[in-house]
Formats: sequence, structure tokens, C-alpha cells
Amino acid sequence: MIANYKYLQASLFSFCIHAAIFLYIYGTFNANTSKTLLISKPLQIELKFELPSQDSKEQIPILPNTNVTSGKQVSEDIIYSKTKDEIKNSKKNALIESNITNLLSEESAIEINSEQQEISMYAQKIISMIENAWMKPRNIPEGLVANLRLKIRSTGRITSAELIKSSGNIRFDNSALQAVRRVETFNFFNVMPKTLYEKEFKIIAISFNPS
Amino acid sequence: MKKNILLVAILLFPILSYGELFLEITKGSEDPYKVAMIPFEGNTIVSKQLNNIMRNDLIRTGEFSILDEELLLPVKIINDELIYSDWKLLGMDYLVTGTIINANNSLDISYEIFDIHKKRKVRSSKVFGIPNQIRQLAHYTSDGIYESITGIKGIAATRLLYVNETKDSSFTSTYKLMLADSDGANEKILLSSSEPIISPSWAPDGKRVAYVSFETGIAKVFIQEIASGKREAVLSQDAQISSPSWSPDGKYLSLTLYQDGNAEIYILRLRDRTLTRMTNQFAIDTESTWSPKGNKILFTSGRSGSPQIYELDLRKLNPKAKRISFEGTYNAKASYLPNEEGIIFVHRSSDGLFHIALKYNRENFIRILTEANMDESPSVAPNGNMVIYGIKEKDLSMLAGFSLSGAKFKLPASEGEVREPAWSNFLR
Repeated sequence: MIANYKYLQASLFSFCIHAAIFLYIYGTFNANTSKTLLISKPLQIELKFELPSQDSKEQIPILPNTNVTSGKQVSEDIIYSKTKDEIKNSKKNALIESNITNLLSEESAIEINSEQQEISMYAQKIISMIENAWMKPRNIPEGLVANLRLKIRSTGRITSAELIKSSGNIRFDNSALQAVRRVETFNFFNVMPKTLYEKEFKIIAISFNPS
Repeated sequence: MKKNILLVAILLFPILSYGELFLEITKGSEDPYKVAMIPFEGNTIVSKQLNNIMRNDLIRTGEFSILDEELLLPVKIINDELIYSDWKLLGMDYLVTGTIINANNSLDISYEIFDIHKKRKVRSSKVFGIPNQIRQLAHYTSDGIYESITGIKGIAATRLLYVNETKDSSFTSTYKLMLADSDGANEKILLSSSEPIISPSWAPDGKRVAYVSFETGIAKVFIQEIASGKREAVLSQDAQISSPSWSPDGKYLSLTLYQDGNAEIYILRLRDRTLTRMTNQFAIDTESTWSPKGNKILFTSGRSGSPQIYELDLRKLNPKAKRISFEGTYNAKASYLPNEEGIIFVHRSSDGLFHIALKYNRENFIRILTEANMDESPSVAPNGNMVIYGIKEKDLSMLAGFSLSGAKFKLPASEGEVREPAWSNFLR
């Protein structure tokens, strides 16, 4: 009986470990395509004015020319202060040494980065719309957090809002649900690329955390 | 084995944290909702009365600011569509319109709520009533508006119990147990006595009340049916019995008995009138109230040398009272918030004045919510957003209330003194 129990325990453990390894690997592959926490800071809104896609196009063609137009570069460099000059030079050297494969990988990195910025731009829009609609109840306990999961159509219409973590305070939970109800539709979804919508904005989680 | 589980948990953790986009909302507005209420179409006298009652109901919640009637615009409807832009310019969030339908022996209201930002009707509803119950009709309607905008059940249609004391020319007192609407109107006398009446308490079904009457010379707890007026003493013992409180399932009363010369908390099973002693202490234990789930009771005890609030967990076999108030030298008359997330009680602050205070379980400080000097007997509304309590004004006891959202109000003065309010459950 004891042996039997041990056998069962061992097989359970082994099953758990295998499941964990499998899920872990699955998770790491999935991690590339999913985003983690974005914290709302109103200042970040300004990020959207930087257009990363243009940057990536401008930067790369310049690079092969750096040797040829060195004279011009120097004259330009004089304008800058010395420290900036040094930084620029060291950067330039590093870039010259890098081969084409490096450049390519860098380009794709920038692309991911630009997608990231696009996501954060839309995320900021969502956040500010909900913040405008949210009537925070008064005299509620400190440190309340309520999480909602929103299902959104490609038109931007919120089709369901589900309370996935209650704050424990009914007025707080309700104010969160009510805020989402008041928003109803994120009208800027019509300019969002379809692929981005499918990937990121079909289902989003929202945390109401005023502290 | 524990270690193994921990290991699995650690391995699983990163997977669980992946997934959908996660956004955080940190700011919100604390302003009240701005609502324009168009006087309902129909009989102008009825409409005016309805409008007044509803306006007051909504303002008392502290969550609405209602546009002054003089500032209202005509409602423009073109092709069955409300013109929203005018209301948007006035900064309104919602617009309420309605019609009074007076048809053979019934007075109905149909009302509509428009969301000015969404440019859409968000509610269209009908309330059925009878002509001499305009107040009730108005309260139902304001609860509908409140719930539709805030998502929380309104309490305008709930009722209050309180004790009224009047003195005649020879200074002999008459005590009355009164029943009234949540706004203090529509008063009815449930009991009149030449001896004091104290501690009224609602049965959870709202159909019966319990109270203490001194009509036999000592304190006795009575139960009375509201509709029939039928009443009976719950215990025939000679001992003084006081502060009844009904369990949420309506099957038990918690009481204070002075059986052996000392006040202790007992629980009385109403079915067979059996008593269970809950406390055994040389100090006074009294003012018990039940938690909303009925598994705990709060009471006031002097066992530490000053009145403080204690909690008993009824799920335990021999529950030990746990002290839950620590600030100051006087904390009493506690009751739970509906969600059991905190308590409302009377607190004497360091300046010696009595205030109504709130303590959330998750916080380690108290919030003082009133600023008069002799505030007493708080009773919490069933939605947890309002509290009614007793105040002293020019040495006269009166009733006042506040909402957690910030509104403060006084109930219309009755003749004589009014004290010990008790807020009913939801009645529909």
C-alpha cells in the first residue's frame, strides 16, 4: 500500500514537472507575441508624436556613407560640445564595424520597437478614455484594485466587460464597470491596423488602481 | 512534497503572467454625475411634487448634481431623436424625461434616461403605482434612475424606524415608535406609550420590528408586525432585556440580558425561544449587531476599562471576543457595512466630542465622517452608501444623515425629539 502510494506520488510529481516544462516552453514561444504590463502615465502620451518607422528608414541608408562624407561630418561635429562629439564618434565606430547581418537584426528590432510604440499609443488612448469616464467613488478604502477583462470588436465597441478580480468594495467595482459602460466604444479602432487589433486589442485586461 | 508543489508553482508562474494586454487606470473624477431632470409631462401638480421628491432623493445620495430648474432648456426632438448638443454645452452627463399616466385607479410613470455623451437612450422604464402613493412612486423612480446611472441599488424606497418623544404642558413625555420613508416623510405611528421606547430594529423581511419598551416597568423586548400591529414580548423572564438585533435570516434575535446583575449578550432562537449565552464577563456587554452573512456579531464591551467594540465569530464552537477598536477611549454602537468590509460606529475623539466614524478592515486607521458634537446611533442603509444618525441641535435630538459620497442632510424636524434611527433592508 505504501509502495503504491509512493508510486502514485512520484507519477503525479513527474506529470506536474512534465506539464510545467511543456507549458514553460510553450510560454516562452508565446512570450514574443504578447505584451506585459503597461502602466498609465499621462506623460507617455507624447511618445506618439515620434514616428519610429521614419527613423528606421533614415538611419540605415546613412550608415554606408559615413566614411565618404567624413569631412562634412567633422564640420558638423564641431558645432557639438566635446562630450557629445565623443559619444557620436564611438557610436559611429561601432556602427561601421557592424556587418550587414547585425544591421538587419537591428532593423527588425526597430520594427518591433515601433509596433510596441504603436501599441502603447493605442493603449494610452484607451486609458485616457476610461479615465475620463471613471467616476471614482469617495470614502473608499485605500489600496483597492479591480480588474476587468474587455472583449472588443474591431469597430472598437466593447462587447463584454467581465470583472476578473473584485476589489471587495461594491461601489468601487461598480464604478469601474460603469466607466467601461460609459465609454462603450473606442472610436479610434477604425484606424488601427487589423493585424494589430487581432493580436493585441481583441481582448484586453484593465486594472483600476488609483493608489 | 511541499517543496515540489512550490517548484511547480514557480515553473508555472511565468506562463500565467503572459497573455492579454494589461492596462492600468489610475485616475478618475470625483465629481458627481450632472443630471438634468425635466418635469414629467402630465398633471402639473403631481409632476411638481414628483420632481421635488426625486430631486431630493438623488441629491441626498451625494452622487448627483441636479441642474436648477430655471436653467433647463426645452427638450428638442427631431425625427424621434433627442438633440444632445444643447445639453452637452450645459455640461450635463444625463437627461431624465418622463410622463405621468393617470388611468382608472392607477398612477403610472414612464421615464427615460439619456446619456448625453453617448447620445443614446440608456433606460426606458415604467413604474406602476396608485394615486395616493405619489411619494412611493417618486422613490421607486429615483431608485431606478440611481441604479441605472451608478449601477448600485438605490435606497429611496426603503424606510426608517425611530423613536419620537413629545412633552405636554405638564412635562409628561409620550414616546412613539415611528415609521417613515427614507426622506423622513410619510410618518406613521407604530406604538405610543407613556414609558420609554428604545432600540428599534428591523426584521430583515421589513415586515416586523423589534424594540425595547419599558411599559411593564422594566426593559422588555417586543416583536411587532407592522401591518397588523400585533405584538408580543419575546421572553417572559423578570430580567431586563435590551438592544435586540435581528439575524439576517430572521430566525434569531441577539439581545442583552441583565440576568445576573450584569449585561451579557445572548442569542435567542425565535422558533422555540431558547437562549444561548454568548459572553461571560464581569464588564458590561451590549449593543450587539449581526454581520450581513450572519456569521459574526459586533458588540460594545467595557472589559478593557472603556467602551470598545468587539467581534464574535459565531462559526467557532466557543467563540472568543476579539477587540477590533483601538483608537480613543470610547467606541460604541457599531454595525457592519453591507459587504462586511468595515464598520460604522460612534467614536469619541480626543477633543471629547462624539462623531460617527468608519473603519475599513483593510485599513489601520479610522475615518471620522461627521463634525457635530453629540452624534449617536448610526444606522447604515442597505446599499452601504448612506448612514442615518442622531444629532443634538439646541439640546433637541434630531436625525441627520450623510452619504459616503459626501452629501449631508437633516431629516425634517418632527414635533418633539427624535432619536435612535434604524434603516430597513431593501423592501422590494
